[in-house]
Amino acid sequence: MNTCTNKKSLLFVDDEIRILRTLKAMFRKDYDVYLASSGKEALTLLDKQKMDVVISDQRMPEICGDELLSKVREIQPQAIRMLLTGYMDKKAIIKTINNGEIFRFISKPWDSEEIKQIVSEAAIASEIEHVDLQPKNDSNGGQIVDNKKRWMSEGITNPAVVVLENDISTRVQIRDIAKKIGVKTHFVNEISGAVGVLHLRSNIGTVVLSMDSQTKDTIATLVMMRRARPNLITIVIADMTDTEIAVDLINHSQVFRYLAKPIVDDDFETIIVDGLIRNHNLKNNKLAAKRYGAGHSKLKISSLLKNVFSIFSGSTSH
Amino acid sequence: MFAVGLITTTYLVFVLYENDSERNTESRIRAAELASEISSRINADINSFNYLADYIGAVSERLDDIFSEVSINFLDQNVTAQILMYAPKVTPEMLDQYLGTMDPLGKPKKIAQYREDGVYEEALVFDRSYPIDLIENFSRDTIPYGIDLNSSLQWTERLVVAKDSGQPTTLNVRLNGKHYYWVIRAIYEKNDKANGELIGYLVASVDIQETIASLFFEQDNSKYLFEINNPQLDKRPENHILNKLQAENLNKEVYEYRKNVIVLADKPLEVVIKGTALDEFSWSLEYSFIAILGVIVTALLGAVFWSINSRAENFRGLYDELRESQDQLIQSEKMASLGQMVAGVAHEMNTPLGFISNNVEMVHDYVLSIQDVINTIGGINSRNKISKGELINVLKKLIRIYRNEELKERQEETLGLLDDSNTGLKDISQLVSSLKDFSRLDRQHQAEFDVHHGLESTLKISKNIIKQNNITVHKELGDIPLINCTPSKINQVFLNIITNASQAMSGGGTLTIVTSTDENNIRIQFQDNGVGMNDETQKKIFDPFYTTKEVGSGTGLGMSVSFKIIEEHRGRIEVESEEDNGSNITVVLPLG
Repeated sequence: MNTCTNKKSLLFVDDEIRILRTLKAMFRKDYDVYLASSGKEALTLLDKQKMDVVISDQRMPEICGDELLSKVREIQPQAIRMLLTGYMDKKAIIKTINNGEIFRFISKPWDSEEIKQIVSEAAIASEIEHVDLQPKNDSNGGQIVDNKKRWMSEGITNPAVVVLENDISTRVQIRDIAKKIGVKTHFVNEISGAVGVLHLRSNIGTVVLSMDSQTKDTIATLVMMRRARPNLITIVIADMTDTEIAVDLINHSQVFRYLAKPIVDDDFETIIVDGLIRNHNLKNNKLAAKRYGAGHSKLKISSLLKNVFSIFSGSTSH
Repeated sequence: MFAVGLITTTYLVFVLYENDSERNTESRIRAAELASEISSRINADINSFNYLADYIGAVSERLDDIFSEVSINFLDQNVTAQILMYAPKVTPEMLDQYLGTMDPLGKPKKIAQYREDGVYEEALVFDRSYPIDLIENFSRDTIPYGIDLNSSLQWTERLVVAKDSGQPTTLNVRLNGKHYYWVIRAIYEKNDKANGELIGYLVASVDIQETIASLFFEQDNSKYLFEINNPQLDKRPENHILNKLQAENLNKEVYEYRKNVIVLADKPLEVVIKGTALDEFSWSLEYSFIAILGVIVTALLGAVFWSINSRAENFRGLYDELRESQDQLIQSEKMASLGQMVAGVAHEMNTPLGFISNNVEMVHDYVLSIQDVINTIGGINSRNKISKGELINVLKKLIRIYRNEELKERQEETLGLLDDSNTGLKDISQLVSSLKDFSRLDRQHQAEFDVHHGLESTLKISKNIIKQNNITVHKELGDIPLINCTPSKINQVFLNIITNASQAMSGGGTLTIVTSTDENNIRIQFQDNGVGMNDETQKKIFDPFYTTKEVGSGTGLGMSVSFKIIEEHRGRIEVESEEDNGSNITVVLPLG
């Protein structure tokens, strides 16, 4: 589908040259493939060449994958970022989600059909303009740091979030954080409640979800909610973050942030406002939401959730 | 001392009624004797309990706030006893802690009654699952009037609060031993609910007393508790909150909680249990009254005794649990080093597996492209006669395939991929044989062991962590004889030391391994130029559970297990280290 003159550029980063060679063999026909055997080399390349998609291994000496992708987000925010990971390193995965705003995780060893599919999705997504979360400047030219002023400066009115959290202390904490920055909170006890609130209040587009034992159902519901409303922003918090869930959350529902409890007041304040701004921008730019779209999910969906979902999507499609 | 940390707030003053009547003397003395006997039993128990508590206290400081000290003072020689119960002080931190576990959906209960003097009293009792800042939202308007509760109470437990706020404000609370309530009492100016300004809320904590009280207050509480069906949330809580200045004027202790001022009861908060209208009691009533008191004292002290016992039981349970978990941890150290090894090996294998399987796909694709060539040639191969035109067509087709499918480039590429696959397979088989050597499952027990071989396979196993931390390994291997040992255990020690060294040089560095021998021993020295250890860490290096790694990264057992292993081999581990300059760990094993 790509003509020779309009090939997308892919950058693969891995310290194992044999991995790079086989990836090049696989992709060089359809893409302009660039190879780097270290983070440093990758950064040098990125200085000279605009990349559409950057795929990096996690475990590399000196600069590791999560660090590299966070830097890529800064220097070429337009590039779609993906992490290639073998042995799942939890910390790195969480960091990549929250700092690298990653598009997909690709597991190692990969399935060749799957990786081709993912790369082609990434190439398409790379055409869509990215949405910036950089703080705007105030009248004096300085960056707005105050979170309340930040959402106000974006022209957001009546900001609100839905919060699914059954732990009372976290609930109180989130309420207080939100209150402080003038954001309304709707608390719900179950995922169906969250769907309900989103269904009733179409102005709300940011959800904070606490993962509990019904993780599978929660992810499945997230997948559906995001499919019905691609501009929905999801922030997931959990007692303990889990690599498998993290990968599912990214690959199937493009989670916005994934955090372990206890949440830190200042950080969470910023995350909520980031979420509100991202949601606001995506609402105003319908096409952009596609860039943050999730992959096709193979997750099984319970019939109960299907019902809930049909109500939800039925109403929102009008 | 354990109990010293607890600060008195709540007294339970138990007043035995004093009567001049001689007829009562005997029973009074009996009651006093009883109380004294029980008191000594309790004291003995408290002592043993404190001894245990001291021990356990070191294990878990958190338990501090659940213990109450009990002491009994005889106010005079005969009959009046005062039982002081030291309950935990209600501090803002405690409020935070307890309120943090609240369920905001719990409904407040209202208790209300007419006192004997006809004064109407009421209070909202919030389950501890109610967030404090929502409590203010219940305005007094939501409390319905006119509930006639002509109680036939015989005993009233009185929480006397705000004693000096003009008129004493008393709150009648039916305590239910099964539930722990936060008692919140709205205080109105001059205690006048209808006309007085709301000046604040009183918060009292009832803990151990409840348990005791429940033993002798058996009335059905339910009829005094009313649920407010449809509480209207007051949007103007600020109208109902006492400000700090006002509170201070009332000369009470003031705690701030989430910007709202809550007035805690004057300290100490007295809980007075006493009979009512005693003057009118007849002799027999008085007699039975004192008898009842005797029973109550017994029940009360029994409850305290029981409570202490059950706590001691809890602590014993905790202690057993601790010991059990210690055993589990030692096991988990073995599992952790195994897990670390497996994770490292899995990662090392994943990479070659990744490119080999992809290469197989690529070769497969290439073979399919060549198949087109083969089919084209096969089409004319069986023919006896071929025209020139056909031959040209076939040639054109072959050239087209050759060009479109980039057959030449791909042939070179494919050969390269096959070479890569070959080296990858070699990597995997080397890794597998190192793994086998490392664990030496076939030689679990004493065997002639080549230390260098053990070092090699351990280095191979730990390649992942070495690579990840950017570490260069430098070896100076001497000529050392085979030794008699348990290879898998010695390898475990090597792995542990190498892992520690790698983690100490997380920013990169050099690990130097030197082996040497003298008449009696062989020495295996591991020298790193990492962060090193301070004196304290060096002292504690072999202590179980001592770790400088962040939570989750180490069990704190690696070096203590290593120490044990080397001790079993009649060897020793020497530690030299300097902060910021690296460490030098030497394993010394005896020859023969």
